[in-house]
Amino acid sequence: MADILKKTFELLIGTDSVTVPKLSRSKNRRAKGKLTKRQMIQMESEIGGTLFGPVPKGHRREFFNLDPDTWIWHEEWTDRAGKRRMSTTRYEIHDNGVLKAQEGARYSFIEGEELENFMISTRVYYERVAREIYNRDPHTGQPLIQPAV
Amino acid sequence: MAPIQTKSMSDLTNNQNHGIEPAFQAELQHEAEAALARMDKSGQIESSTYPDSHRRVVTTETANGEPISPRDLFSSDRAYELAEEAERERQQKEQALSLRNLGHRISAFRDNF
Repeated sequence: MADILKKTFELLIGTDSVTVPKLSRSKNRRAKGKLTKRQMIQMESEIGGTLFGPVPKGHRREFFNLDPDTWIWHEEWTDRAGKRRMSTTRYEIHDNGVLKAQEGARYSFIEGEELENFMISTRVYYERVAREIYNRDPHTGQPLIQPAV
Repeated sequence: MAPIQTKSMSDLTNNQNHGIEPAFQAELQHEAEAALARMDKSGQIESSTYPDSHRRVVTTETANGEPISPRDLFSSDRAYELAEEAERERQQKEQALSLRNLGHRISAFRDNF
C-alpha cells in the first residue's frame, strides 16, 4: 500500500520525493491512537480492491477515494517474463464528466458501461467503508448502534 | 315576428344542398378527401421513418402541404441534437454532484473518526 500511495502522489504532483510510512495491516490500529488520513485511506483501499470480484493470482488491486474530486485505481501484476508491472489510473470528477488519467495515455472522459461501473463502484465503496470502517449509517451519516454484548 | 330559423349539423349533412351548387359541393368533398389522404400519408411516413417521432418534431410537409426543404430538415435535426446534448450535460452534472457528495461524506467520516 505504501508503494501505491507513493505512486499516487507521484502521479498527482509529479515527484517521487514523497516518503510514505510503512503500514501494518493490524485490525487494532485504532487502539494505538488516532489514525492518519493515509492510514484511513489504506483501510478503505483494502475494501475498494475487493469490489470488482476476485483478484487474479499474482495481482494486487487497490481502489480508493483520495479526495472529493479524485478516485484512484492501482493494479500490480507479474507479466509472463516475470517482470513486475503496475498501472495507476486517476479518475477526476469534473462538472462535465469523469476524466480518466493514466500514465502514458491520453486523458479521456469515461462513458457508457465504464461510467456506469464507476458510478456503481463508488457507491458500493462509500456504503461499505461507512459501515465497516467508520461505523456509520451510509444514508444518514449517523453512528450505527452497536448490538449489546 | 317569426322565430329565427337555425339548422343542426345533421340538417346540413342530410343530403340537402341548402342552396349550394352540386358541382361546388362535390368539389368541396373532393378537397376534404384529398386533405385527409395527405394527413394519412404524412403520418405513415413519420411513424415508419422516425420510430421515436413522439420525441421529435419531424414532418415531411408544411401546414400547406408543401414538402419541407432539406435545409429545414437539417434545422430540425440540429435542434434535436442540441436538446440531446443539453440532457446529456444535465446528467453529467448530476453525476458529478453525486460523486462529489460521496467524496465529501467520506472526508467527513475521516475527520470525525
